[in-house]
Amino acid sequence: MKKSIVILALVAISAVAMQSAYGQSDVATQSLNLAVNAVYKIATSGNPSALTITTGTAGTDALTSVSDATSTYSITQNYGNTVKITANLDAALSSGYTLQIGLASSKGTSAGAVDISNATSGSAVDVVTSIAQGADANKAITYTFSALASAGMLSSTTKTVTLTLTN
Amino acid sequence: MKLNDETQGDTKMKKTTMILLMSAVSVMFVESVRAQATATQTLTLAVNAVFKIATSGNPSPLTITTGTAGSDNLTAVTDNSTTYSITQNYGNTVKITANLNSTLPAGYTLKLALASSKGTSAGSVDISNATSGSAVNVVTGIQKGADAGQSISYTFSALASAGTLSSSSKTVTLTLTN
Repeated sequence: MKKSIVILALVAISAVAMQSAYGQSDVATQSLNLAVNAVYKIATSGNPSALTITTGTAGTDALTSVSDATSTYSITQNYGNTVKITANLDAALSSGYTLQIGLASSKGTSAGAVDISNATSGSAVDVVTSIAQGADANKAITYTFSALASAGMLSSTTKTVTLTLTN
Repeated sequence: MKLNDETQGDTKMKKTTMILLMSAVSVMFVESVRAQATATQTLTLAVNAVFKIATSGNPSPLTITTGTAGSDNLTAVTDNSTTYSITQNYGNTVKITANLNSTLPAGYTLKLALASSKGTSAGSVDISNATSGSAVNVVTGIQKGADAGQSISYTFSALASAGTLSSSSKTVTLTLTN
């Protein structure tokens, strides 16, 4: 009789325990704030070699121009598809000297060889336009330096070119 | 009355929230407009001194074939068939000199004249005795820039007393120098 009571009591406890396991549920939630800010990144591989004009053609005022295509640029931007790169010098070149820059692009439209001789910070010129979101790595930068003989010689001079990735 | 106060309070709260939201949007917009990145490169530019001179070719043979009876000076011959071109960026005091590879024998005279629009032509200059060590100026005061297709005139003369001269090749050197 006692054994029967104990067994019945154990069965009852098990039933309660099982009901408790099946009858309970719980959830937890979290609110997350996600954001990706506008990212504009541009970098160059380094400086180009010295651009030195050394020769010309007899009877022609335009001396033989020189080019450099040894440096590259890389960009990353997530702003939109209307981003562009502008270029400018720290100071304009003297009359008779011309510096052109050409940036290759696979994410935008290159403007080709653009004269930046007179482009300063207040008058930067577009060199690549309509850049799509994403990254574009190791694209060629080509500089072409030309001069007129009538402008005379030019002592070695340093110029800073600023490439700006902007919307 | 109390309900009205609460309503006014709610309205003020909503206005404040709206203003704050608008400010936040404005800040975000300004930040977005100003967003950009830059990279710089340093370029070294130079233009060295350039001196270039070239001729269009060689003149025709200068052969004296006649004279005037009673005059030792035979009839000179002239050639204007060639031109020269120059380009220089050195300065405004550049000149062209001329010389022969070797002097002419006595009694023979070779004169040279170079036209110029960038400098001062010395006119017809005797180069009969001008060699590499004694080149003579034919154009002076040449300005920077280019001067193309300027005429070269040779005049060859001889004295009858000097005798005949077998066909002889001479080299004239024009030097563009400072």
